[in-house]
Amino acid sequence: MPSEPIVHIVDDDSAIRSSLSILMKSVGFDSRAYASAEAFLDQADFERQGCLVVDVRMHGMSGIELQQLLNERGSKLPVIIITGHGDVPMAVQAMKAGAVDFLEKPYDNELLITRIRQCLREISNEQDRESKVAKAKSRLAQLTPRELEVMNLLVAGKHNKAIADDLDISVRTAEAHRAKVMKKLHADSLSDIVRIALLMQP
Amino acid sequence: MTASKIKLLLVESELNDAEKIRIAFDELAPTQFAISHADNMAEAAELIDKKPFDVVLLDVGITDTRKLDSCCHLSKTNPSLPYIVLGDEDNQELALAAVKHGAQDYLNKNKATGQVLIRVIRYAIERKRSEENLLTNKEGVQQLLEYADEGIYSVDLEGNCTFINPSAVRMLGYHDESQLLGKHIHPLIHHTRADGSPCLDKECRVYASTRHGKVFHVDDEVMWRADGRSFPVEYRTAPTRVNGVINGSVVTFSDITQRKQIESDLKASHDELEQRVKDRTRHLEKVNQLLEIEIEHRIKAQEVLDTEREFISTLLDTVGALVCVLDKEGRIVMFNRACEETTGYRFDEVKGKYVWDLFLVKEDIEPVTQVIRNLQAGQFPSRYENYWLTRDGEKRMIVWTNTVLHDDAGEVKNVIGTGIDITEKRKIEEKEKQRVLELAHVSRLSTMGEMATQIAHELNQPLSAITTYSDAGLYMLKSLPEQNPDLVTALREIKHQAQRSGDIIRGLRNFVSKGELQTSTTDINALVHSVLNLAMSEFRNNKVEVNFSLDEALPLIITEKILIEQVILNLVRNAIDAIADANSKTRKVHIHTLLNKENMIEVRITDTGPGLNAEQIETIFNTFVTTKPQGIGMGLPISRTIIEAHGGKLFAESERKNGASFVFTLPLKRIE
Repeated sequence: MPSEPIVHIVDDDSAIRSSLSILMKSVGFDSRAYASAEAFLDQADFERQGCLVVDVRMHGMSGIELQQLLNERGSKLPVIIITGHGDVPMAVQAMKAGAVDFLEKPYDNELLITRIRQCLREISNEQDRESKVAKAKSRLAQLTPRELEVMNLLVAGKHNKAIADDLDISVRTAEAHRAKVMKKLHADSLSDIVRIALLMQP
Repeated sequence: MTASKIKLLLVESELNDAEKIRIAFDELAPTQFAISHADNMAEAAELIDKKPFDVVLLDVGITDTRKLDSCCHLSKTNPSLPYIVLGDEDNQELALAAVKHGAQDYLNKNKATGQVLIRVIRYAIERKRSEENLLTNKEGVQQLLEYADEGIYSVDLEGNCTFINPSAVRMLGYHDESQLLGKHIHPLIHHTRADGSPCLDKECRVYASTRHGKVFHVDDEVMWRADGRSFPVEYRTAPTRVNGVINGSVVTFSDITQRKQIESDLKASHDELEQRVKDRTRHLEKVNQLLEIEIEHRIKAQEVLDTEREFISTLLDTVGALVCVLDKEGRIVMFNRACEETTGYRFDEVKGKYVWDLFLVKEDIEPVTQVIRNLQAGQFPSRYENYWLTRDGEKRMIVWTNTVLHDDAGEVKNVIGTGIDITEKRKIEEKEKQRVLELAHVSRLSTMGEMATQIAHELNQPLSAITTYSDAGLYMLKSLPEQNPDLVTALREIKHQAQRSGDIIRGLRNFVSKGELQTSTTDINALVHSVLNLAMSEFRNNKVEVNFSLDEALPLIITEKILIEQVILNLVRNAIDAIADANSKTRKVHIHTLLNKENMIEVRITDTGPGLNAEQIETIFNTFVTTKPQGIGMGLPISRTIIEAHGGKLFAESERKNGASFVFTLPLKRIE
């Protein structure tokens, strides 16, 4: 390893940048924060291993656009997209485009740290995609048809109420299904579900 | 007859002969005869005058016609005394002459002896008695005919008059029966009928009686007098027979002029009476007819009146306007259906009562009595408004227009008030105002929504930063060799509150801007606990005691927790503020959760503050109304909107001085 991996933080809000930088430091990550995608592209050290945490909504270039640009440039930098509340469809789109993860605001910092750790570990320890697919398949197989429906609606960015409406079930039932889906897929978050669902797609 | 002897007078001039006869009688029938003797006719007459005799034996000697004359004289003076002529020879001529002269028999005294003589004497007595009887009968009939009032005549088969009595002669106007006797009587007295038509022979009932042997009774014909005048008669005609063979007929008749007159008078008076009855009846009928017409007129008039009255009554009852008629004192004399419906009183309940005793609110009594006084003085307020109290105590705003009715003397008689209940209109106007306010509210809300979105976005970043700083602090504290639990708690609390702030802002933003609720299963009691935790320091700082009674069996419901929590927090804070601001002696807030009768979850937050008056209860949920000096009056309206969006209700209750309760309900199943 030439050097410690670095966490790139791109957010147009200085308080966010500052707090995340301190957070990264508090858990022992080296980090650098940029006020915009453009600043990141301009200043980041792409030679160095690491990951990118980027807010989807920013002045200037958005997080999605940045991720697409990096994809186009053949960058292997894992990208964690931070989305606003209700921006799931955009996050799913980002993941299809290669983002490794997304976090919906308000997210838990501990979860962010876990995801960052995972990203950095995966960089050094390339996991077998096939084994992941096999694991995902076996987990998906446990879902009932109704749970599968619920999962697809979740991936489509729908909330409990919308799911309940779509399936003509009560919100409480929708919540129960969602909980079952999360448990069966060993998912901690919506992004886990999306990731598994995406793995199953060709 | 056997008891008494036959008293015999012997007239015998020859004493020897007389003695011989006496002896003969004594021998033959000594007890049957009492014999007296007279020498001559004069002596005989003398004896007869003295005492009655049953029979006379008269010896006329040898054909002495003188003695026959004297005998004749005897029979004339004593017509009923039978006498037998005795002669010396069988002389037929003398015997015949003696019988013609009235003697019963003639005997040859030389031959008639013994029993023959006695038999002849007895026969003579009996015959004479029979003759006497017959004569007496004939005389009776004769007298009957003579003196009968009825006219009687008889005719033979040819119609000739065979008998006519004096009454008939008189009635028919003749002097003497000879004028009619033996004459063909029909053409004289019975030729024409009462109506002037001829009475032909064949039609005459008198003839018919003869022809057919029948009796007829007729009373509708006339008979004609000698002087050519007629008179009405009633007659009977019956056939007369001799040895069973009809030989004519007898007619008895009477002049019934008087009877006819009486009958005619009777009939006339009867007719008159009848006529009068008829006239009277006709008159009565006419009167009756007039009465009927009159009655019909009245009925029609009544109908018209009824129709009119009904029309007016219907009109009065149909019009939406209140129509109330008062007498000059202000007592109710009429009260239409609209009045009844508006007030809840029936007309019969308010009739005769003073209008202000029933309907007016205290403040209005004086002005209204003034109005009525003014009306009496001829001053007409064109319009005025006042409240009427209904039976239920509800106040109805009525706009009145008044009119005065005067009596003939020009005095005020009635006051007619026509009113329109504008309560609903007012309410609608109020509602309209409210709607305008609500529209303003909505537009404010949408502005608020935009603002909230903006605020959320703006606040999210710093809140997120606060959270991250807190986390960073916590991580750093962890790695320090010396642990500081208080600092950890402080940082965690900072983080927690920042997250909560974010949640609230997002929840409100979604709700206010999109009307969306992010619902999830909610335990109301848990929310209450959570709120109590949040408000703990406020309770403490304000020295307000909190206690609660929570129904642990409350079912879970689906709500947007964060907003319901906000509502509870809001209400709890209001409760604390109410107590703190009023500096109440008792400082308690009670939170009560239950499942109410309507099967809704009910949360009741009660304070010991100053309470609310009725008006405040009404208005406190209006936007920008606040009782708090530093409040902006958004809490309660937004809370109410949130609760209503969940299908529940939020309202206040207050018994003045006993604090206020704010209550909200939530349905078990959310109303979508």
